[in-house]
Amino acid sequence: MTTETAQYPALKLDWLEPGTESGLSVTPSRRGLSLEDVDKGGYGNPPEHTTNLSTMRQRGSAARGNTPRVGRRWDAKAELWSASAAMLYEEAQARQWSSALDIPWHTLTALPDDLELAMCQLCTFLTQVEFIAADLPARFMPFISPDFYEVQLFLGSQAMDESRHEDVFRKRALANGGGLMRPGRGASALLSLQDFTEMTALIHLVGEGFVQTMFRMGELVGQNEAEKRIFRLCAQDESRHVAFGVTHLKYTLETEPERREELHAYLDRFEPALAISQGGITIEGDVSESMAVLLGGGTAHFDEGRQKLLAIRKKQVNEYMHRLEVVGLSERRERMHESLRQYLTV
Amino acid sequence: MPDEPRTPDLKWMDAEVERVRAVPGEHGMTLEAINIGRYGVVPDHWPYLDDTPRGAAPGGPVTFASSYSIMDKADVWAENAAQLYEEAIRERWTSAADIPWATLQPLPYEQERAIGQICTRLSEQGFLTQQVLGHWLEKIAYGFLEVKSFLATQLYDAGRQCEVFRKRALANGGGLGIETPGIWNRALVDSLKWTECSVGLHILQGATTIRLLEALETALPSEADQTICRLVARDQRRHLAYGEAHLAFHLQKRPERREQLNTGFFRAESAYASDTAADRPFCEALVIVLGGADGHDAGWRRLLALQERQAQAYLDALDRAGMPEHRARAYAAIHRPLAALV
Repeated sequence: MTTETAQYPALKLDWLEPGTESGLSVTPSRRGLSLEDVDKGGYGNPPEHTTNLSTMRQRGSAARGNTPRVGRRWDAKAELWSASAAMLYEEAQARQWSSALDIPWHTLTALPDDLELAMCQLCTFLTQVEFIAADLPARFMPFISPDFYEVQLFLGSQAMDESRHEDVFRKRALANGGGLMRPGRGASALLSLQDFTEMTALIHLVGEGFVQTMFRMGELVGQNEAEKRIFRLCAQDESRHVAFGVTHLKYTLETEPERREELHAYLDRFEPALAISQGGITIEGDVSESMAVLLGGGTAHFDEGRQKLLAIRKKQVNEYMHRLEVVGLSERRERMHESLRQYLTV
Repeated sequence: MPDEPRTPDLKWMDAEVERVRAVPGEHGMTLEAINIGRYGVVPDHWPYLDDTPRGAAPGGPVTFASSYSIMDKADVWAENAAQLYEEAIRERWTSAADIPWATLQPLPYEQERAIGQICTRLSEQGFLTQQVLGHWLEKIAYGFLEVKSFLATQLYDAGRQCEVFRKRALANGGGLGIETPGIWNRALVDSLKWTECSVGLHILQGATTIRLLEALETALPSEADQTICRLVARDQRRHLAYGEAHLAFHLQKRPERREQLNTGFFRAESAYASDTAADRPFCEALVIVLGGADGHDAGWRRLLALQERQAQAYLDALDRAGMPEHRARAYAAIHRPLAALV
């Protein structure tokens, strides 16, 4: 070490003993160094109720005591926690994809006009609603305490995924001789939601769940490998979003069972809206017709396509019912809105 | 059960759609590749209060007015947003698998704790950035989809910044240190206009963090640390590029705002200088890390030089964005925030 003239103040170094935990034994797991690998001891286990309501202090770091507040936050873990958030965030990182490069765009070939317009109508609907699915989780971020930072990381990955979905369906609409068709009612009314659990119930459990089922049927809807790949990759992303919502709602009902009727009330209001939405559970309307055209292979086979669409609708509702059972709302089978219940199998 | 055959309406096929065929370019099917015809026309004022996609055929239903409030291109646009969005996706990385964690070696207690203290600030910064962007994203109208998409990538980058520095702090026997003074956090949260927020977030925070990460990449001993700094700095350069391009566009469209901006930047600059001055644990940690084997005096010298480089990087960015006059008007303490101490 060189010796220098001490023209600078001596370091106080009191921060070297901040009272935080150190000396963790950390070993990367098979997929690398994950959040679950490092969040041990005091760094893991978010509190049931956080006292860090108003600063950016990261969980496990030391408080100063004089930090200015930055707004209101939810204090209870039950308000927003999802046990799968960290795992789903890591998975999202590992499975990011590029709409520019990971779709085999060269496999797009000229389609008969009815099929091209039908695909463009479906893409118009999807590019419209996917932005809302990005804006909505993002607007809840400022209310998340750093003690529950995993939830915020997950929502950030969802906003990224949904932006890519908006982008990939826009690209598909403009890539094969068609264009963006007339928009529908969209989903911007969802931006008025106020409660995190309400948002999760409507977006993750219902909205994303229905879209995920549809994307998983992409092998039937897609007319070429590019479209099938788009649906496959989007379904993979949506699976994470649905899983987040299911684990959050399960946790909510386990820790705050008194919220059961409140959850039903959210669903009571939202389920009928699906029936009138352009892309909802109805088999009428522009988007449903376009799907029937795609599923049938053209307007000449509309009835055949409509039967396939009907099968998809049944699958959407029954998978929704399964998610409800997993979170602990099995009585929803009797309370489900008639427009959906008609598709339920025993 | 609605399973009886019916005749389709098919009126949607009559939409006045502008038909195009985008062609992938060197980097595939990018946003720039599809910005053709009316789909690529970004109006100065976006007229729709709902989620109508840009370029969609007219005649959709009248629907709910939503929460969008940034409706003017001048207030959010940057000419490079589409390019930066695609770049962000091409340059994606994962903190779990792309950092050579195995290269971390046990360090002396003081140095490891210093790295943990620096990581604490950088992790907090990522968390803050997510919260700030989350607040603004829903305000931006659909017509500016390239900007919304780019900001979604930044939201994602910021989350990764939050957790990669957390992982580093906890991965080598150290731990997180003391939180930041929070003065800077408040300045960003308090922003009332997107352009002012962007200058604080993208230009001041961005430019100064890039310089910090460059210095850390040189000073830190392990390949893991160097890789983290290099990758996060690469992300930050995209964010800075948006900030510069947005400010340039804003000034071009709203020249009357120049004086107000010159005055308004004072808030962010004074918060930056105050926060730095009040964060003694962070500064002392930097003295230790930058000094290395050369000792604390060398560390102080390098820290003061770094802070001057950070101020210059910020002013250079404003210069490139079209505000060279701000160099003479900036809050003086940004050059030497620790003047009261050294």
